[in-house]
Order: sequence, then structure tokens, then C-alpha cells
Amino acid sequence: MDELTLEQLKKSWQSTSVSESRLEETAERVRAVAKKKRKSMGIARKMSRDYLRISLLGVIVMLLALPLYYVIEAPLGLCIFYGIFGLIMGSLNAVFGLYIRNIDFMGLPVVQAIDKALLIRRMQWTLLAFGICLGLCLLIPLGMVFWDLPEGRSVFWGGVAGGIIGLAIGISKERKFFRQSRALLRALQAIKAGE
Amino acid sequence: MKRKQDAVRTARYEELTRQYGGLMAKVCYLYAGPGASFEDLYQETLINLWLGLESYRGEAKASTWIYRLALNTCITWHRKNDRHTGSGMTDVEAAFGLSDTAMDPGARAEQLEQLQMLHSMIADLNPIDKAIITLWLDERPYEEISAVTGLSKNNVGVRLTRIKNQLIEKGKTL
Repeated sequence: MDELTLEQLKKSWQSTSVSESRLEETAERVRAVAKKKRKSMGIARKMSRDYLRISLLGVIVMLLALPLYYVIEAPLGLCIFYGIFGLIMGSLNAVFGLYIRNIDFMGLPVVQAIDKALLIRRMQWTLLAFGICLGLCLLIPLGMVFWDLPEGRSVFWGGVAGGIIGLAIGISKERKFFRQSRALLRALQAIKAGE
Repeated sequence: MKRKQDAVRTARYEELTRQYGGLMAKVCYLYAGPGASFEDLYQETLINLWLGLESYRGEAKASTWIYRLALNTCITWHRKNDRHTGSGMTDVEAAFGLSDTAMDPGARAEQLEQLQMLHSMIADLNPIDKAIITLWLDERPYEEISAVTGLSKNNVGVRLTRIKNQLIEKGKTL
């Protein structure tokens, strides 16, 4: 092999024909899939943004531990638990939001993308169940503290009203999250069905 | 508004794949080779083309931009799939029209052999050197090779001479 052979190889390379119809067919298929995957990516980004936003509520809950201790004079242990609850839920939501954001639904093969969407749904249920359990562990002693306050039952009923409003907001948010993950899963399954 | 943007993007994508589909396929072949899934890499390049069109404003010449995009995809793929095994020659034969039954069998065999030889020769090169030789094979000027790879023109010249010597040596052993 010498310089001349290399040049011949180069000429041969340049004259290599490419089947345009085959390539165009592939290009069209990829474009259709890419468009659909982009839709999935949009849903995932929105879901991630919403989880990151809701994680800020954790900071607010943490801060509320201060008036709980200094104004209502609830036991210190309960106030620390309240603060830690905010920290844990806020962190978990933030980590989950970042996890969703970092999934490359465009680049992943459809089957793997569906697996990820299923995992997201499982993680959503786990996060919800964990939040409810931890919340109940906090609300029951908190309710008892409010019930026994010397100021009377107005603080307790105020707390109940606040809890009901919070619960309504929480349910609507969770429903939205589950709707989003279902839409993501369906969008990906539709791509797979079309392949 | 969004629909109009999508239509413009689709038209641009179709135009670029028609014009440069062959070029992208050839670049993908050099990186994927006969033992790897050429089709997967080609599809990944097309996905990146579709995604890249969102931000492409025509600052660089279309061919330069396409080369850069294809080579970047191939280099990333090469790093991720060092020991990749795939579907063999079938995809490549079809994409390069080598499975065309109307083609003279002798010419088909010769073209296939040359493709394989070329791939074997450059298989051991590092991804950047592979990019340089790919552009040289397509007779791109030094300015364009420099623009695609980010190396200076002098550096491109020096590396190209070294790569060619390496290939000649390798060719002797094949």
C-alpha cells in the first residue's frame, strides 16, 4: 500500500453510491418518532418543573416550625419533627424533579423510555405514600397539642380548617402529577405502537 | 405559530436529509463499520439533526454544520459503544444500495470489499483522526476540516500527513 493506493481508495469512496430511497425512508421514520418523542419530553419537562416548584413548599413548612415553637409554644421535639418533615418532603420532591429532568427521552430507545415512565409512576406512588405516612405521624400529635392549648379550641379548629384547605390543594396537585405521568406513558406507548 | 415553525423545520429537515443523507450515512459507516449497528448510529444522527434544527440559524455553511453534527454524534456514540456489536452488514448493504439486485454482482462485491477495507484501515484511529480522514476522503478543503474539528489549518495538515502514513503502514499488513 502506498500514497497512490490511498488516493484510489479515496476515489472509490467518493464514488460509492448511496441508496437514497432507503435513507429517505429512514429519515422520514426518524422525523415522525422525533416529533412524538419531543411531545413526551415536553410533558416530562413540565412535570419536572412542577415538582421543583412544589419542593419550595418544604422550605415554607420548615420555616413554619419557628412560629410553632415561639408563638404556639408547641413542644420542641414536635417542632423539630415538623421542620424535618418539611426538609425531607422538599428534598424528595426536588430530587425527584431533577431526576425527571435528567432523563433524555429523546435519546433513549422507546422501550427504555417506557420503562423510565413506569418507574416515574411507581416513584410517584411511593413518594405519595411516604408523604401521607410521615404527615399522619406529624398531624396526630400536632392536633393533640392544639386541642390542649389554654387559648381554647379556636386554634385547633383553625388548624383543622388549614389542614382541609391544604389537603384539597395537595389532592389537586397530586392528581395533576399523576395525570402528567399517565400522559407521558401514553405518549411513549403510542410511539411504540406506531413502530 | 408553532405549527408554522414545525412545517418550516420539517421542510428544512427533508431538504437536508435529501441533500446530505448520503454524506451522513457514509460518516456513520466509517464509525460504526460492518460489525456494528450502522442503522442505529444513522438514526441517532438524524435525531440530532432534527433536534439541532431548532437552534441552527445558518451561521455555518450547511455542509460544515452537517459534518460537525454527524461527527460529534459518531464520536459520542463511539465512546459509549466501544465494544458495540450489531446487526452486521445487512443495514449497510441496504443503505449503500449494495443489496440492489440490479447491480452487477462483481461490482457489488468489489465495492463491499473496498468499504470493509477502508473501515478496517481506519478502525484503530482515534475519533478525531477518524473525523479528519473522513473529511479528507470527501475532499473537503482544509478550511472546512478546521471549522468542523476546531483544529487550526496547520494542525490539520500535520495530522493528516501523519494519519495517511499510519494508514499506508496499516494497509501493508491487511
